[in-house]
Amino acid sequence: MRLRVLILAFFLALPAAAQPPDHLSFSLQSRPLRGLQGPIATLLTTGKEGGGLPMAALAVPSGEREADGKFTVPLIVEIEGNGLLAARRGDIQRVEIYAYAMGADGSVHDFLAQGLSLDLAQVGEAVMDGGVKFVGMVSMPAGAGSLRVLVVDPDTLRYSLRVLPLTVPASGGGPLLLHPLFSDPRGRWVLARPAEDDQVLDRSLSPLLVDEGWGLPSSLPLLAGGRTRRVALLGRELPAEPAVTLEIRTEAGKKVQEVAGRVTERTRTSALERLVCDFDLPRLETGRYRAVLAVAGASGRVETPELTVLYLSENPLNEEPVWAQLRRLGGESVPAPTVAVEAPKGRRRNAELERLARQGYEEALRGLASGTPLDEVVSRLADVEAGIYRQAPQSAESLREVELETAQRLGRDDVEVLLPLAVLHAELYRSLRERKELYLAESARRTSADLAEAYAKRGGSGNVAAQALLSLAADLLASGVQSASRSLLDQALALDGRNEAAGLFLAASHERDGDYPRAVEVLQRVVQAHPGSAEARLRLGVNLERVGRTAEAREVLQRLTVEPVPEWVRTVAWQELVRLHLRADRRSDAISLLRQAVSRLPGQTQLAVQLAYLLDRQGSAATAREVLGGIKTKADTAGGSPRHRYGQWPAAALDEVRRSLTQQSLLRLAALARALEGTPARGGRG
Amino acid sequence: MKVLLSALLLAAFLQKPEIYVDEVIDVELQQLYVTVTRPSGAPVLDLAAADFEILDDGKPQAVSTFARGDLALSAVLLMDASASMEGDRLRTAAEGVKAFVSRVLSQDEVSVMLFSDELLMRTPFSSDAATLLTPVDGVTARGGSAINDHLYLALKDLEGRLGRRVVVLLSDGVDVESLLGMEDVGWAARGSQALLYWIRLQEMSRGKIERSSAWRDRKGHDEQLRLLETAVTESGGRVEVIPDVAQVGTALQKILRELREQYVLGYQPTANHGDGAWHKLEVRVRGGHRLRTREGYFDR
Repeated sequence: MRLRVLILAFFLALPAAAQPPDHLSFSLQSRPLRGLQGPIATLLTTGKEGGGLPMAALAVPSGEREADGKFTVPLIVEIEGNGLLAARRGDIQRVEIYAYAMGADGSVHDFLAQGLSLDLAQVGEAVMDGGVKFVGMVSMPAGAGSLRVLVVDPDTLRYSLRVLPLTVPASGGGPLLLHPLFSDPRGRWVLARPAEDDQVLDRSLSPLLVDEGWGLPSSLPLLAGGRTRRVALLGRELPAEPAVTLEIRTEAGKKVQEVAGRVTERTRTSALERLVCDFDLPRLETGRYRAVLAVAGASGRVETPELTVLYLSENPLNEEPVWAQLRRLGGESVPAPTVAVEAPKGRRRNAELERLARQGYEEALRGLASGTPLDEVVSRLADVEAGIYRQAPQSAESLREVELETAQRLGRDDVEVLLPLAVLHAELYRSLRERKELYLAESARRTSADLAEAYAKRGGSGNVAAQALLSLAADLLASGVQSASRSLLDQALALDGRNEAAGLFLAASHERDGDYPRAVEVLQRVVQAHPGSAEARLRLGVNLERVGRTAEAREVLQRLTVEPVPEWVRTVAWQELVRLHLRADRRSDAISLLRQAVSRLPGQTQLAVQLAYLLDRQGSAATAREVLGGIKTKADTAGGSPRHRYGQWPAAALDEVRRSLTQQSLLRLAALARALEGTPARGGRG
Repeated sequence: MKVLLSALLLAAFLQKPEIYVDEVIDVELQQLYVTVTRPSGAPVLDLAAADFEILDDGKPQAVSTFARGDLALSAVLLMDASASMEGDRLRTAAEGVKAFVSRVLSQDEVSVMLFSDELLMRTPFSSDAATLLTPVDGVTARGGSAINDHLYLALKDLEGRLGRRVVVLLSDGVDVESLLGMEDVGWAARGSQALLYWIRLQEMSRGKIERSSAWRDRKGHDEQLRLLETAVTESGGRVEVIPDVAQVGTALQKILRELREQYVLGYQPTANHGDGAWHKLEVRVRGGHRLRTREGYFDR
């Protein structure tokens, strides 16, 4: 059997493509698999769980029956990015994913073998920030069995093997409840899936989507006390008036607490029923638990299989991935979950490296305080960090601690010292990112955010701290890192609710995710604080229409067509007003409006194209050609079309923020110089 | 639908394939450009009119004109010059276009159009390589991509032009900034009866972040891609996927060769009322060969 497995895995390398529904996703280059290496193949055949790659997997036998009588079983594999990329400095990170569907007798029913190549220049930061979420499927017959899921880094042979016990329900076999489906926050993962079997996979995944249908469920849900959490349940022959409960158990299976939930939706998807339920989560000690959900009624009670969950006693400040929360919590304070997450081991700090790090850092700060250009300082500091990191890759966190300790010491008497340091680390982050030192870059980014936050908390200007956080968030958004950037933007707005640029960025981020209600919420606050912001009003008008508030949208857009606003804003306002007419099937009104728009904005090509098309549709092909005849090429136009401008991040607002931030930082260099003079460097951790 | 029929159709029965336009007459005629291949993909070039059967809304039609050969082309080469074509990529693609242009015949008329989210460059229709290629050198790739708007513009440029009307789109197909939807352009394409070819550059989308944009969510983007594919297939053209921009020239030459090898079937529809209704077309061929042509037309 082992030989068969090896050969099949070799030949059935699937191409990878990224096309999950409504998620942040990236194209992943496909790559043929080399086949399993000896020791890993042995592990797979023995089914012994273990390995150091942080990974979690979830298989829910919700799929349809196939021609051969087997059932499709969708599989979700989550690989934590920080752990995956640990110590990597190359351009490509390769990953191999294998899944073997085993019968109770040890026979292999089906398998999946997928190679992924992650181009770190494109997706490195997003992977580092969250990780890779892979969706695929295998076929299994009804009955008990298991899925052995193996993830391998073929270059280092680091791996993780999980064995998921699984019972595939036969058709018509009585009441049933499958694994609970907890949602993930949006934009958390870089998603990948096989390009083949799209339709079958899509159909099988469809009942699993949670949170208004956009998200794949989490294989390792993070629950936070005090929050309401939405869970979808899939089952069969469920009671007519179901009562739902969530039971939290310890690892040993002892009941900790049970909470009743509210059923908010009940639908049927093919052979299965689906309940969507909300639970108000109790506050529990942080740690690893098991969750079991039950549905009860007059006809009886049915339970889900157990699912491992991580529980935070407090409501987390942001929606960071589970793994990032773990790191932030210090790792060792959270019991290691069964899903092979390796909590950070107690690090032995290397005194000599720390001395070098501290010396290099303080030299950089002295250079900064004495007027050395920021880019020079950053370049030298990046050299120091990269040199130390190459000597000892496990030293990244120590570097960060040394820098934070130094910053804390320097800022003890004058909080203003912290601002230029936050700006320095933001620049360091950009520089390290360009050098593809992702680990160090992420560390620099976290340090910058921590310093900005500390600056505000200790009495520094909230507005300036908000600018620092916004500047970082904008960098992250440009790299496709959604969750961490939103968290920074939320923090920025908490510090300065009137920060227009932060509001615009946050709204644009929600908009790109298709979360229009949230975009409207944010934009309404921005417009309230800045009634003159043409861009905020335009985005509000566009998104109001998307959430069905057409009359309000029309009012907002109409004003923009007559007020003195930038031409690109006015053009998009006209375009969207026309679309409002078209959606209401008022084509002649649309044409009339377009004629006005074209005469007022004669250089706007897209208005002419839209007018020509509508004329064409009403049978005036020759007039349409005349309209198009006036179109000129725009080889030299800077900034692009109005719709392109709308689709870009609000860069103008950001430029202003960054200019101001640089100024504010320069003004505080004297304070940094004083602090450096006043507090001599310490030789070690003391 | 009224079609401008040239004297080429009279000449079409001649053995020699060169065809010249001498006079224009106005008749009710549907022309179908038909590509016939063996299962291996090799072209089938020895068929006669009697080997074909045309069904218009299921009703058999008599083939009134039949030809194969170098029928004059009116073509628009529509090149995506958005930021994903930055650097040498646009120049490499332009080299491919040069190879295509150098093979057009004197009776052909080609226009080259470069676009991003805006119209960057458009040449007049010409068969002169210098006229078509010199302006390309002055264009810098930049910005987003508005495929739908510019595909519509290309179709309108072809309106009323003689000969076989063709649009060749060179793009990854991801439209972000168009004002028109692909459903709108599909309507225009059906009406124009132009053949659409899409050279789909996979390399362009590799590494590009694929997600919902400010204008469309993920499903919206997928739907636009699907509709573009449908429009291409419906027109009788096809999608040629290439992994690398260096293969643009080869892909264009394959398309040109295919156009030269097409059969041109003409028939006078027996049940047209000028009511704008969609007529479904089916063409059958003897011998078990594969066949591709447009899937229908509007009765206007």
